[in-house]
Amino acid sequence: MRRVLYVQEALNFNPGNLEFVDFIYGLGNFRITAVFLDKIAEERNDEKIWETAAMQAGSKMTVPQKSFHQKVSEDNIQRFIEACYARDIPYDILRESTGVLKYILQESRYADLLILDMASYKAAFPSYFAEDLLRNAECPVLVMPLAFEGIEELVFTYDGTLSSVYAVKQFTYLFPQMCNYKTAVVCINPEQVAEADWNKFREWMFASYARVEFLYAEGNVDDELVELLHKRDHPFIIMGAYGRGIVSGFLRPSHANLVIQLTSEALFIAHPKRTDHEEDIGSV
Amino acid sequence: MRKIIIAFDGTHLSNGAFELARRLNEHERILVLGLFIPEIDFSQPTVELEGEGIYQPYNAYVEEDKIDDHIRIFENNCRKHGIEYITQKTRLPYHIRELAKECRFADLLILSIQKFYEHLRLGEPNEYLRDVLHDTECPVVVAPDKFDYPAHIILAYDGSRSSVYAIRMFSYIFPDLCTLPTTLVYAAVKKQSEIPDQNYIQELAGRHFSDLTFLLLEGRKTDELHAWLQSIAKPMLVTGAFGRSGLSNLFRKSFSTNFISDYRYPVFIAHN
Repeated sequence: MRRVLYVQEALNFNPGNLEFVDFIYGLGNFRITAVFLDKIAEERNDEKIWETAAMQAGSKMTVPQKSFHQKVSEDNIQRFIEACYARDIPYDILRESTGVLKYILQESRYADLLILDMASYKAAFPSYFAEDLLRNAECPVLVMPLAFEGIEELVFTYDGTLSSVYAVKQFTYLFPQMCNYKTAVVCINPEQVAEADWNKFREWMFASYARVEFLYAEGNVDDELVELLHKRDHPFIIMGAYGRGIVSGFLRPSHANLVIQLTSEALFIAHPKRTDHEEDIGSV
Repeated sequence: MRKIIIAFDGTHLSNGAFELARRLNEHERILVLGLFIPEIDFSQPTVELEGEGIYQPYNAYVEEDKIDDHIRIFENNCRKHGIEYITQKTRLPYHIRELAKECRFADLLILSIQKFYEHLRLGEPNEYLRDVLHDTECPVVVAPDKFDYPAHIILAYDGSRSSVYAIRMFSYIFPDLCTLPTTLVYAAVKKQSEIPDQNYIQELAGRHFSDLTFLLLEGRKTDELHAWLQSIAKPMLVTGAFGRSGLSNLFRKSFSTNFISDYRYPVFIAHN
């Protein structure tokens, strides 16, 4: 059984997210540990968020703000419990209010996967919290799609580096049931990868996935990735190649289109602790 | 379908290594690359070939007929058990770096090369060999010449990222072995009363291993560890960074010095 962390702001729980959690749960033998965070929302101190959260949770703002926050959070957690119960999803609940990032990073060492709902961070984009988490998590991170309407195909990014193969492998070990999905491998500037490596990678992909097609483009990595990804239908994007660049370039305005495009879809990011021996390929 | 590499040294055809692959194939179909390496070059490029533990490149006579026989036996075994296979006889000189690179595009490397095992068994592996094991881009099983299919799993845990990663990877690659009796051992260097982050590792390992017990070995009680290890039949050791903090001194000593006799078992190493 795999241990999955689902990280979520207690005040911003969106029941629609359970559709995606349910989908992931249905893929294998997972147990969901939901981590409800207090601290991030409190730091932002935005009245409108409380009002919206209150409406969504069906609560009324008749109590002092602090206890009101607590009540909304508890209502949301209760909704999560009920939703899991209705869908027969096994779960645990953890609630944390201090040392949030350090705490989640420690949890990530002892987890197979971390599911992150970025919806609430996008308003305050760029988000230092999300960047730190993506950079330092010790297990693969799955960013939830904005609106989940099923997965039509898997889209792997590949550039020949250790990181790109690492992410493909980690995804495959976690979701072996997806090997029959339509699969695209996207590579920008493929001539930068040695022919021998291409052959070995193709052999591995064809052994692991039933329906693989390779898509190539030449030019600027950001632009071409956005262009290629934009054409995909309900993709599950696996970022190994370019992933480290995406994370480290999170705060650069030039990456905004790419990051927004990526974080609107289901996005799987994994990178090894060690860095690539190879040169960085592409401009990301 | 998983891609497994078995690296043979040409003169030994390990039954244990093939058996591991065969059992893996029963659980999920595998593609196995039989890599026959007559002699491996352990030399460190750009460093003078002197000093302890560094091997001179080998240019001596290679028993080609014997290697060809072994390739035929391997192919027959694969066909007999319905395993998809590729065989490759490497050219000389074959450098160990080439082997590490081959692993980027594989899910597991089974090293059935006696020199590797002897390096691990007869004391600390030299720095370079240790680095190569760590550079290998997929998990590695360093296999002795002969061993039985594992009946007990020993997880060497020290609270480090590397040791937890190894435990996770082992469960992904060998799910069928996760139902065996498993002991998570924390071999403390100092006197210590607790396993680090015990609740956390219990949460994770408890999900993956169905018959799991915890063992804390305190201080420098090597005898205790040896006695315990000898009581375990057909073990397989799972470890992170070999020779660094991942495998504590206590564990390494017991592995290397007290089992020079016939007591041999495979070691699974994963490092990210």
